[in-house]
Amino acid sequence: MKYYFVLFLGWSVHFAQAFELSGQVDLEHRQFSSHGNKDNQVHQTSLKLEPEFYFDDIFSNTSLLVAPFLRVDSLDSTRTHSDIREFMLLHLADEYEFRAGIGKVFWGVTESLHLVDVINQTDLLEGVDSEDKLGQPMLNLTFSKEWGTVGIFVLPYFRQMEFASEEGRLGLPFDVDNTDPTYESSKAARHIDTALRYSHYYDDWEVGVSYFSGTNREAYFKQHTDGVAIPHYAQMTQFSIDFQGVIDSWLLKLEAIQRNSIATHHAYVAGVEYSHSQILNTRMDFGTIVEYQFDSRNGVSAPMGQNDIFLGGRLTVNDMAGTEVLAGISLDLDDSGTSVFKLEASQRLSDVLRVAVEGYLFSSDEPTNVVYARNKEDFLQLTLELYF
Amino acid sequence: MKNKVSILSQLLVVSMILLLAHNTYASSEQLNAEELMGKRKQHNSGWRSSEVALNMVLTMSNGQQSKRSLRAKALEVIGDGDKSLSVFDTPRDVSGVAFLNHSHVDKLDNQWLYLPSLKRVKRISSNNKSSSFMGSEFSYEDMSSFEVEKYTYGSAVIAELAGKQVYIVESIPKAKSSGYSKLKTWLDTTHYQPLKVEFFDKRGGLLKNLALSGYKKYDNGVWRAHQLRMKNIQNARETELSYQPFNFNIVLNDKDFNKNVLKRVR
Repeated sequence: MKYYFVLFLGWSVHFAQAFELSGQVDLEHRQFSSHGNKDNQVHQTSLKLEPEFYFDDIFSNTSLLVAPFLRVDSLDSTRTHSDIREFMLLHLADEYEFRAGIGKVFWGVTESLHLVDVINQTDLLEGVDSEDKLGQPMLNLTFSKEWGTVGIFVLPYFRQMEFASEEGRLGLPFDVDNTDPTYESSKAARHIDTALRYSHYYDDWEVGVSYFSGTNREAYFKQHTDGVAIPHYAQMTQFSIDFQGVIDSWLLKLEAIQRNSIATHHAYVAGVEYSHSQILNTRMDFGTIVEYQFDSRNGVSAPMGQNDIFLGGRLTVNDMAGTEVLAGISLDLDDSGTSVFKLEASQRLSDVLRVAVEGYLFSSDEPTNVVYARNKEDFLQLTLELYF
Repeated sequence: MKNKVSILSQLLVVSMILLLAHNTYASSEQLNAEELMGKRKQHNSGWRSSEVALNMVLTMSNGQQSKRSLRAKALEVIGDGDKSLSVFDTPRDVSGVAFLNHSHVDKLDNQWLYLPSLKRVKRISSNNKSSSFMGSEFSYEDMSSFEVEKYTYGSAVIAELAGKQVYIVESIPKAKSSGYSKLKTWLDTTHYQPLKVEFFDKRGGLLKNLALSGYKKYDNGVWRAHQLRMKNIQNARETELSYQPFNFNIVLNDKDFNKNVLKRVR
């Protein structure tokens, strides 16, 4: 398989009308406030390499994007991982777009939680916010008409979740044996998943309706007698809707899902974002974000956002350095002692260098709450990003 | 044959009357601000679609500079505001970031920003008219297309700018969310394009001063400035836009400015 990749790449280099190389190298350091539940170390340093090769017009109206990914981590052998984020052929025709390969698709509108976004598996090793994704093999046909855009997806291979090792940080609160996960489908990871999405926008209003049928990206855990859990991937069907509207300085957002898997549940996030221009007579802009999260699952299977409110603020300084700050807190409405605070800030140091700070504070006094297991995982992360 | 001659002579008479009427009108010096701005729009229309590369240089009050490069495509929309799509190339950390604007004559623009690292299209609330565009002294309002209907008009006078005759036109933005109380525009008397614009803040004080130069007439009859220097009087910062030659031969249509193209724009 790898041999064909290389051969194909060589062929692409030969036939491409234009070739571009760009990308990013990150030097990242995480400092934890305390040793973890397994007496884990408090320093975690890593290096990320993410180049992007773009070949234009390898044949008529067809381009190829190749984006490999590598992280080398000082603490966590599992977090030292590589992936092919993209290996995507894109063919543009007058009436449609056709994609084949490995890629990433984002669906949704809300800030604090991404319920509707189900095509890609989350790369849990990368970050806490679930915004990093593993490359998903796919065939995708998209066409836009007066009445909206339709996307048809065929997903021939499933990517399993990966978790931090025992030495690593921010892992699961129980021991996992991830070597041999089980599947509901007899075809295991080779089950062919399908998805369909319709979206349309008119003026200040946007709506999306999606359907997914295939392997549930979220694992169930089967407890073994020796206390080790094994991930189990069930089949699921999911219907979802996402909606966004603009009224003056207000953005209104909604994401809602109905998922039928081993259990059936529904969930939604609804919220607003209000933008203030040039606050306090400065050149800075400030956005206030309020989002409510609901999930019908309860008890031990309750996720973080089962009945939570997220309050956040985004500051855009509008300076030469492109300084941005996002801070927010998720409050559990069922359990007043549970909250997650997050901070993200970044600033350009030069034309090719950017510095980013990210921090999380987890707090819960309720042992059954998922946040409780992260009480000792507070961290501050400093990243130097070099762009080329 | 006789018939043809009579038609010709009739045409001649009519055109002479029109010419006379035009002369009388011009000599009366009754300048109409809205009419002049209408001519400004008219002399910059009929281009259908365009593509251009530009550099943006930001200068701080202490002289420190920062450069951005971007490419912009635009589509002329008859009867409404134009559509534009800008893609950043540098600084490298914003490479691939794309800004899509559907400008409107009688309501707020529709705006989207594409963030390539997340593959995510973000909607921007369009009440941000007075906000800075990418840290520059140009606001989102300044980057949007000029439409006659976006303003009400005040006085228009003949004056001189650098030894040349010009028209000075006063216009007042209709949108409540505009960052300006008034604009004073210096128009060229031959091609009606702006040579200078003064922007007044909501309290009536002079906020910014824009100088437009490097005008060139393209084969399609459209005049375009290639150097735009915006000076902020109140904070002494400056932003200069330098345009490469415009390409009007490109054929773009509505589809190229659909929100969905953001996901594959390069």
